[in-house]
Amino acid sequence: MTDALVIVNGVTLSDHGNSVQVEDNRDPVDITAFGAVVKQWAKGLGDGKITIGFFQDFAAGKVHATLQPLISSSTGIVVEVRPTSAARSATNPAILMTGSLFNYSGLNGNIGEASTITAEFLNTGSGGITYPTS
Amino acid sequence: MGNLYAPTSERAKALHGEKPVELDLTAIEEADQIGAGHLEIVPRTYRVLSNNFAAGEQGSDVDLAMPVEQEAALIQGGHIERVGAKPAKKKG
Repeated sequence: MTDALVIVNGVTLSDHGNSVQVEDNRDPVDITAFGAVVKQWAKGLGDGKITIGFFQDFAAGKVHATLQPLISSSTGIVVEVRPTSAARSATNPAILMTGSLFNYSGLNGNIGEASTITAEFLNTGSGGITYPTS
Repeated sequence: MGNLYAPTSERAKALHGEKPVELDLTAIEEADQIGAGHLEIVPRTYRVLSNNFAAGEQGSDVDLAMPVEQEAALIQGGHIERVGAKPAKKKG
């Protein structure tokens, strides 16, 4: 992955991003009944999480200015990531989630290193993670 | 900073009238009113200040309907400003 697209609340932050992790999960529900010889599982509630790594930038309109207001906000915002910065397509689907920022490590690094921070968004919408191709 | 809402239910029209109304609601109040079908956010014109906001080019004006917290986050982040919302400059 060399050219992923990252859009948070309508703001493109790809030029500061360096990692993306998408987790689209379903809770496993044990439905094994008496007499069974193997465990049986059903899918329970879905969940979604998008974790993005950034090089921190405190300039206006950049990483901190975009993310910091979201940590105290309860309104869901749209997070979109794509494998590449090209337009949405069947081979470059968007990964979309309405979520809120639950974890924001505003400053992180050691002497002589770039400050690399992470922003963790959890699903707050009713639709979970979707994969539109157009 | 309030938002502009169109009353959409009979209850809201009785409370606020038929025309769009400026209300200073909290994020929770706003979500409740919209979710219950009483109010709808009326699009407002914003000027795009940053060069990485997907809704429009830097310096352009765009019409957007946003919840109060989303708007606040984008204004605080230096991405947009309300058109016509700047305070008048002091003389002298």
